[in-house]
Amino acid sequence: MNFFQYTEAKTARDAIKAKQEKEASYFIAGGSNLVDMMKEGIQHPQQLVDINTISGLRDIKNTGDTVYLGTLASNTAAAESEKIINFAPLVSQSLVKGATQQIRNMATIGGNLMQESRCPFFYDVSAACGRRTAGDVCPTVTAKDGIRTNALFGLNESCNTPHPSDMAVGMLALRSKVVLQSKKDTRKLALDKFYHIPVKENTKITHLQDDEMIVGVEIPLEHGFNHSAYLKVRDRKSYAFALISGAAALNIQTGTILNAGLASGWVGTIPWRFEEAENFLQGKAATESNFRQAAKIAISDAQPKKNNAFKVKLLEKILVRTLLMAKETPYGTNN
Amino acid sequence: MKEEDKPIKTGFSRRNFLQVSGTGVAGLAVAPLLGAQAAEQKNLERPFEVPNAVDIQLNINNETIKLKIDPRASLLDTLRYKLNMTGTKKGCDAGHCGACTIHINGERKLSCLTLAMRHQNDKITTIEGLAENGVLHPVQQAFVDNDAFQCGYCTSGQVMSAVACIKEGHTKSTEEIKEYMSGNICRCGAYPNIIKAVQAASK
Repeated sequence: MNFFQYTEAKTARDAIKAKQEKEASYFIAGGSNLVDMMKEGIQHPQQLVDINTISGLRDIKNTGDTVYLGTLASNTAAAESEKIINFAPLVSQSLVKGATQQIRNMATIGGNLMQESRCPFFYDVSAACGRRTAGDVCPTVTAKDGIRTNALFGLNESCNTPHPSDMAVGMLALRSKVVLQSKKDTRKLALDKFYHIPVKENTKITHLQDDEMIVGVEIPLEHGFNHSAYLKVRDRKSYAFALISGAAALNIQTGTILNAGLASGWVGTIPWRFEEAENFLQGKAATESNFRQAAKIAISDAQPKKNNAFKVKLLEKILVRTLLMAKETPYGTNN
Repeated sequence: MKEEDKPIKTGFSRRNFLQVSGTGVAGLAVAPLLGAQAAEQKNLERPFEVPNAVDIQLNINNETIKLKIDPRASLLDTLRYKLNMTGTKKGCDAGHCGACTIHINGERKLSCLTLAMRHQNDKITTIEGLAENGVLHPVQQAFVDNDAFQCGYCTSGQVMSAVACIKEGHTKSTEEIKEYMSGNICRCGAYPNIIKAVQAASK
């Protein structure tokens, strides 16, 4: 690990100012991802700006129209919050499937959204990696038959490893917004506008600007979702990243779907939302045959290669099952 | 070793015993040479100075300790190599295995993924801080009673995790215990007895 400067910020503005003053400056909150990467020699910060010392960014609130999570709330605090369990249970359902209690106690909301790839090429500093080095082309792009874990959507010429977060997938199905503060003002970005598909020229996959900090996530309640489920399929039963995960939120009134949120993890280079499938479900009866059709729509533009072709069928089945689970899980019955 | 760097525990731990007995054997062989080389030896013993070292203060097991550390040091390395508190184990050192689990302000966390200097205002509890007045913590006793280990390397992490797991209330079923203890890997595969121990201690 390289030496670094370290400074504690008292306000978000101070943090942004301090970060901008030095090259290769990073915010640090929980540190569960950044410290690991620093030890591995993947990241070489010249300065760490500690944002854990900022007060007021840990709150979880229900404002009536939204549920709001402060960026420094721990993943455990969010997963076990009554406000989340009652009004946005999908956040809790997805969070508890990620990592372990020790890591969830450390990890924060903002850090979870910003977490880096767990791709073996990313972690092997001697390997070519489009996410570590701008301009590099890595085996996730060049391997003739693809790689087993590779994404099916959002493919590009830089990095085709899937995004690792569970929480972001749950939040995406709920159409959450990321609240970003700069020195001057605050803006909100829908989660599917916050992430962008990797590009060769840059190692970033978000639209977060250099002078911005995530201060929270806002989950709108206007969609009236009243059923939800998160299904994570993985190589071992617990404490593993997904092979594929599904997140579904439904607003069902007397058997009819008024609104649907459908997203999936580990199939996109960023958390992936199935907007066409969501639109298809709107106004339809909450039946298995409609769920099957929605899943067919969702997989229609998947781009598999030989080694990850199985993921297409798996995704289809997971989406159907997630929707069925959601139908059977009204808010207030899962936690 | 400066006064402030002294390990807070006294008496023979297994590690102390090994160090002491090792010195004894070496001492016999070296003794005849000591007179001639004493001056030179002394020079070599000048302590290694950590570059960019920072003075910090930690609260570990209800004791305030002042020490100088490399700013990059994790709590795990600080405990083991600066304070000689080797109860906390280093397994993968990358957040995968749970051997280094400690409590920070009552919550279980992975000491390998921390920077020690960021925890100066926190209350840190390690495996050494569980027993009271020489009596094992009920979870430690349950591990002994249920034969919940083989080699023992993961045990301190398992125990720290189990204490928190019980306090959190995640012991309602075997399935829940398995899920909430999944961050602690046991290569010997002592899982069935670990679960029994957690169940026993949670009652």
